[in-house]
Amino acid sequence: MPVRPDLTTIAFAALSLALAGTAAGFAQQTPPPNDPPQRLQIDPRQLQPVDRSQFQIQDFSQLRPVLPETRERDPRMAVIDWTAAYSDRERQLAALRQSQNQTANRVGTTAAPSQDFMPQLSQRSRERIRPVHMPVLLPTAAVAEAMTTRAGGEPGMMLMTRAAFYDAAFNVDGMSMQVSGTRLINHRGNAVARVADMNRGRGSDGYRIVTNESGLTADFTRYGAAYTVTIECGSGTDPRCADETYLRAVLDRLFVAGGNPDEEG
Amino acid sequence: MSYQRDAVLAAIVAVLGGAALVFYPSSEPGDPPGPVVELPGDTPDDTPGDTPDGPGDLPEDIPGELPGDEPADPPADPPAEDAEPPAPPVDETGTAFTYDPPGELTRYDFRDDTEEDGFSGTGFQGSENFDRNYVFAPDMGWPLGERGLTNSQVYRPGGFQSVGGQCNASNYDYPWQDNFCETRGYGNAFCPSGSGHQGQDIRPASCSPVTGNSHMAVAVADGYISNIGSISVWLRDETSGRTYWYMHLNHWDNCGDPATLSQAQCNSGGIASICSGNALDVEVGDEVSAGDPIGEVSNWFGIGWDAGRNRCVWRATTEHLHFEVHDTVSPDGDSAASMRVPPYSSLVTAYLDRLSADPALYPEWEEAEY
Repeated sequence: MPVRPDLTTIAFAALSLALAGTAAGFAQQTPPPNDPPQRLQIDPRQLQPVDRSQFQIQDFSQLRPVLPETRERDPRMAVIDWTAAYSDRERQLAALRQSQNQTANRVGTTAAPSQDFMPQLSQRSRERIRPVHMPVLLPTAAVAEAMTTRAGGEPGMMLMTRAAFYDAAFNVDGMSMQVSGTRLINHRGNAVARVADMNRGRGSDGYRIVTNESGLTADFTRYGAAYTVTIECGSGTDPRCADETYLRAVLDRLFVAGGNPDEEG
Repeated sequence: MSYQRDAVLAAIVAVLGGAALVFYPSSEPGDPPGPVVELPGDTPDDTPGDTPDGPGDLPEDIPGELPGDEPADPPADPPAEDAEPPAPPVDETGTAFTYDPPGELTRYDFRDDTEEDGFSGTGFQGSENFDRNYVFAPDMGWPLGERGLTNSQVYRPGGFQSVGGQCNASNYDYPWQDNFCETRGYGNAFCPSGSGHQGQDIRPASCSPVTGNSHMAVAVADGYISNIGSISVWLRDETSGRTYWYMHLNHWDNCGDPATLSQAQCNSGGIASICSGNALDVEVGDEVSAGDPIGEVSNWFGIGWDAGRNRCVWRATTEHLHFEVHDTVSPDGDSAASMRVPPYSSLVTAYLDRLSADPALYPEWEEAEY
């Protein structure tokens, strides 16, 4: 004789199915009941002593997976003060007109570069600057279109540009000089203590000049963008890298060579 | 027949559903994470039975709160009871890769076999924005074509604050050590003292003076060579805009004797007059892809006038790559500032990537908030 369930049994079965479904939903996130005993929300790595002879990482509390989404981040763009850049350029051009009869001197000796001329950039350099969406600063030494790179390279100033950054490299009588700028911001250091840290070593003129293993680097922020100027000497006894004199002379004569304020262009 | 089957199934489901409700009490959406509950003891004997079928199987003397007291969001992927720490990855020599934490510089003095805090300086200890594990260049690759060892060139054998030779086996073994901020006179805003080593020193796979092997430095990202200085090569990262410095690569071939140079020549422009060939694999302006060769790791340090001997001499360091990461940090969100940033965590990340390591082994770091 077949068993015919009554309505109560059917309702109970339906309720049970719903309950089982709910339980299954949790079971997707929680071990099934017959799994080995659980330590709820405890990472077992935090409970085990570290055996350096077997596994030499010292502190597991410092380790966790690096999530893919945190490893892909887009840099921000610094806000550019184009008004200030235009103003500086006009002032520099006025100075150029006043001194247009003077002869340009080349940087290439241990003496500081001449103060009294503006570079005449080549057509090729102007074309490379045009797509850069930040003010491009170059040293007057860049007159130095006549300078040469080291072994076998393209003669003259090596100017490499992208929309948000640029690099200009020179070789000056055995010393390399590099000027670069970027408006990309990859990290935020806005805590009060961090801002103070970031400005350690920065002078009232805005330059932070530090020595390194082969020369000196100056970094500064201007028009909202970040710039660096580096000189590097192949000789440990080259006087140009011995102190800040030569580098400061370059910094004092940086000029606004161009830049494209049209973000859409 | 189908009625019988349905009834039996309904009964089974009912029992399972009821049991499931008992063992998996619901939590409301949006509940805050509940307290951590630690069950007593390490052995299965201290825990519920293997086939729980009702509340009676729950232990009665669990300290703290049970999940049912304050529902907790269950872990997405709870670890098994017997989960072991992930095994360290092994490199191409079969050696397990391990590393000391970022910011911990060597404390060991090889000269008298003692340890002392601050012996080689104090590493970057983190700040409000960046903890010491913070990975500044998470998408950066590994700068050598093979395995490498990050550690001090000054405070380990072969260095002037140590004893022994640079090819000492301990220099070519793990664990890695950070040496950013190691004691130097160079300005470094990330160092607690305000000055210190500005990059990370990396020994290649073997000590070339002994093995005779050459080891290549490679591009850590797609980009272009933005500068070749007297002892450095710079790579501009096409995507992030960072610049990476490679120092002490073999720059020149076919070099004559620097002793032939006058003091004036030695001090300025002399190298080009005695060396005639580019030993690097790149030139300024070259576009490169991640993994492309840049140059051979060496001890290159240019030339210099030796006043004591009254002659121009080669300058040399140990065989290693000095690697720097130049990045931008904003103090206000609107303007950019260039800085050398701590490279060690980025290198660890790159190396773990290279070895396809378990994600749990990566340095912990948090994204700074804008």
